[in-house]
Amino acid sequence: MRRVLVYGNSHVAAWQAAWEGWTEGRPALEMAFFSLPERIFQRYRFRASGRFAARRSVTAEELDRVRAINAGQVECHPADADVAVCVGLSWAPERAMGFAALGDAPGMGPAVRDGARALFSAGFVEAAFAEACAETCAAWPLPPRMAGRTVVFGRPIYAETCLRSTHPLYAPWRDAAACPEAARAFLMRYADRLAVRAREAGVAFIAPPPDVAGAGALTRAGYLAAGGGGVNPDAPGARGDHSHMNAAYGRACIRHLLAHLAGAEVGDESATATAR
Amino acid sequence: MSRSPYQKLERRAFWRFGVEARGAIAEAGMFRPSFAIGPDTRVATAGSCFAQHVGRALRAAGVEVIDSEPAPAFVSDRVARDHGYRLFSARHGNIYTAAHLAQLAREAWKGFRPAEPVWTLGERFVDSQRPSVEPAGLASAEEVALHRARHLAQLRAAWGAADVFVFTFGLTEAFCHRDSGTVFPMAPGVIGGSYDPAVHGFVNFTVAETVAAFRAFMALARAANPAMRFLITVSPVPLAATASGDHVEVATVRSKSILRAACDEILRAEEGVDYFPSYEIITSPSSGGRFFAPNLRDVTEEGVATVMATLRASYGLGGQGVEASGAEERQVPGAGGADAAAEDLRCEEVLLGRFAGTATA
Repeated sequence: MRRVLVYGNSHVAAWQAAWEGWTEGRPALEMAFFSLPERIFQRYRFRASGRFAARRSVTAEELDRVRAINAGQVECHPADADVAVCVGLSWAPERAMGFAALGDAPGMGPAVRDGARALFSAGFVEAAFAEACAETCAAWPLPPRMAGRTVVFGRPIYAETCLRSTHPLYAPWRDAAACPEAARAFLMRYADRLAVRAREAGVAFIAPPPDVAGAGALTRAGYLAAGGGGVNPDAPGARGDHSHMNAAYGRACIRHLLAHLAGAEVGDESATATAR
Repeated sequence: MSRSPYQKLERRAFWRFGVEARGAIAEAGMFRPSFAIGPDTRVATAGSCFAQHVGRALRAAGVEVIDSEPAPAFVSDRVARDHGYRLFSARHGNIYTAAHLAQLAREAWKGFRPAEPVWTLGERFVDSQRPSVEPAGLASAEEVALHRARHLAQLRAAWGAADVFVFTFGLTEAFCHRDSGTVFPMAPGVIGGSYDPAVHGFVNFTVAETVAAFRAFMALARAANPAMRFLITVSPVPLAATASGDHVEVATVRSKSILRAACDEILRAEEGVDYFPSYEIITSPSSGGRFFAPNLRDVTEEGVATVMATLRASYGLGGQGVEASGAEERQVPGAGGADAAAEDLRCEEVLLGRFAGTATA
């Protein structure tokens, strides 16, 4: 029986809800969860022992909240698991939209031949993504001494509902919305490059499953958690919540993870390829 | 005292006041523009690598410098500039000669097709008209053609929208395709391609040829954009190498003299043209050579800052400095030392320095 610890921020909730309602036949693994609100997650760190524990800046009230969420636990120890899956870390897919808004991706097919937009070369895109991905990987809080046993599962891509908001956070997605083919093409290249960089760091990176995406790269609105996706017409610039997903999304992610784990050992090249 | 045409002239007309006893160069009246450049002016820039400073200085001063082929904001300046982005208003790389500029305009607007459009770079392919913008080359000749077609569309957009076109003349020397006359920005064999004396010829343009080429460019540009005005300047950066057979310093003086004279002819013959004296500022005896780096070729940060301060002051523009980049020059064996100002630039001409190791006595 393989033991999997899923830890991270509030995005863990979709996974936990999915696993608790799992009806697709239990695979031979145990899945445990440890989640923190993002603001508290930012103030947790890995100790030399491998425990993921609070810094001093986390207050007693906040620890009470963590206990309430995690059945009395205020820290976790990923090294006790066979595989640690960190959910909700930033992976900046907006970078791909930065490209898509400005031009076409190499290898996009007939649309490239007929278009008039700027065209980015594979060499430039690769160089730009390589540098950016190195930065992103370096910023991830990862458990020590777990090379080859750690998976970073990318934070959900915003839901399509974000396009109705004028908040600057969603600007890259709005800018790229008119070019869904380019958005998908650049996102795939970016996720691939990030997976390569992560592998070099001994970690497997898995982007959100492609089947949850709509026509462009944004997540279909049907995967939003209850209460999410609203845009107040009186305050269209409000950030809103277009990011937290429901159990159906969690199920898609778990299936994606299982395919990955079944493909090969975590961190193995073929495993990442399977997961794409 | 008898009457003299030198009576009542401004102090700047006299060396004693204009140079020997002047204070800040930026306030010395070296340049008096005939047309304004302000925050609402759309400026397109092109030219030799020194021209890259001009675009950055104007942008830092709040002028709308056109970038028709932008790189995404997250991309570092180092990566962007290595691939020809954030250097000029379109991704055409350095344009060292007026002949190349005119040819590019003919290609953009008149359907001119350069000979040898694609050069090989190992097992990859580069655009012979801008070989430096893809350091790793592209996968096929077809891909080069596709990228070029898209580039030309963006170039037309940039030049068609510009209120002012800023061009820095860099060189008179170039290599061309003998049969067709197609001009290349770099000699074949430096970045891609292979030099064949039977196919490729050396040209060293004269004043008349330089003037004619630039006026041909102006005519095409004004046909597409009648309101376009021109700010021209000469790069003070000496030649990295010459294929003329002369000593490189002699060739440099010839080249810069021709370009300076050509600018004067253009200025006198055409309306809507200003000449900005960046060459004069950097090479002035008043600077005592301190505007050149220890390799006596690259312009120092102080030199660039002085030129750009003069430019901004002349137009009454704000801004203190050129956008910082932190970029590093690509490592070029034999290229010699370079300070931070030069390191921000992308100058494929410097690559000629690597052939110094093969030079004969």
